[in-house]
Amino acid sequence: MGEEQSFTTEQSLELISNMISKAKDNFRENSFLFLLWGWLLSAASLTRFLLDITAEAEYSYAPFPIMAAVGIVITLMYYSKKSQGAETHLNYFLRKLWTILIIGFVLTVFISVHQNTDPTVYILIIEGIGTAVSGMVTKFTPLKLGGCIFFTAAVLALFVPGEYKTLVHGAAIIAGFIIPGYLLKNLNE
Amino acid sequence: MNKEETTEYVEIDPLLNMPVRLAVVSSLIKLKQADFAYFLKVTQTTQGNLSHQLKKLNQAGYIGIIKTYKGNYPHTICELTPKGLKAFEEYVKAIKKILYI
Repeated sequence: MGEEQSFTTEQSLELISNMISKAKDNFRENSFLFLLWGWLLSAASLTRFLLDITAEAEYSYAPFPIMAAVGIVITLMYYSKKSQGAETHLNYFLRKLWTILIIGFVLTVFISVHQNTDPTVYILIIEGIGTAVSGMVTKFTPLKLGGCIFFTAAVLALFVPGEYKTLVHGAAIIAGFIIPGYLLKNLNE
Repeated sequence: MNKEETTEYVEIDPLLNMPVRLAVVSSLIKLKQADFAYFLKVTQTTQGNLSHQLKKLNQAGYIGIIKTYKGNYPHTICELTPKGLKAFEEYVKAIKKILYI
């Protein structure tokens, strides 16, 4: 585009339309984050289950804060390395939503450990909120279904014996994060 | 009244009726924020011209400019202001009137 020359109304409409279409939502790039957190949290669930059924049950909560710390570090590195360029309103909203939910997740685990209670049900609800809202605002059905699965799993976790709650959590993570994450990733290709 | 005669009575914001400035504001309609490199890519203008046009939009209160650092390099981020959004809406209304849309 040249220096300060004005142009016709037809050209200006065309330019507006062109610029708006270039500023597309790149929500699909977020598949990386769903897969990262999906694998980390499902690994945490499985490890906790294995610790629960062994003699090391005293430290069985440890995989969650460890995996959360790893996830937070990788997520921060991902955002700092990613050339920011432009951020749509949708991605801005989702980034803020998940930032707050991660804070809620960390606090829930911390408070539950402090009170010696099981955080699984509350974690499932937090994950369900993020996944369902992400699915609704992006109109991506697998994430909407994922949100429903998390809420169902939260109720189900109330009725299963202690150590099996984490297995319910792991299964919900696979259905709510990992499967939608791969479906999103495949949409990129 | 033909089309040419009508255009004389419709006021078009001269600040937005320039390709680079209109491109910047149009992009920011869809974007929460965008940096200098993004605008350089989509407008395909020179750094000097883009810098000049961003300054004009900023002085008019149409965009906000945040200057930060990314590594050791300066990083300029732009956001649309409510005044800029209103000006854009008025501009689109005016050109639609001219084009009988």
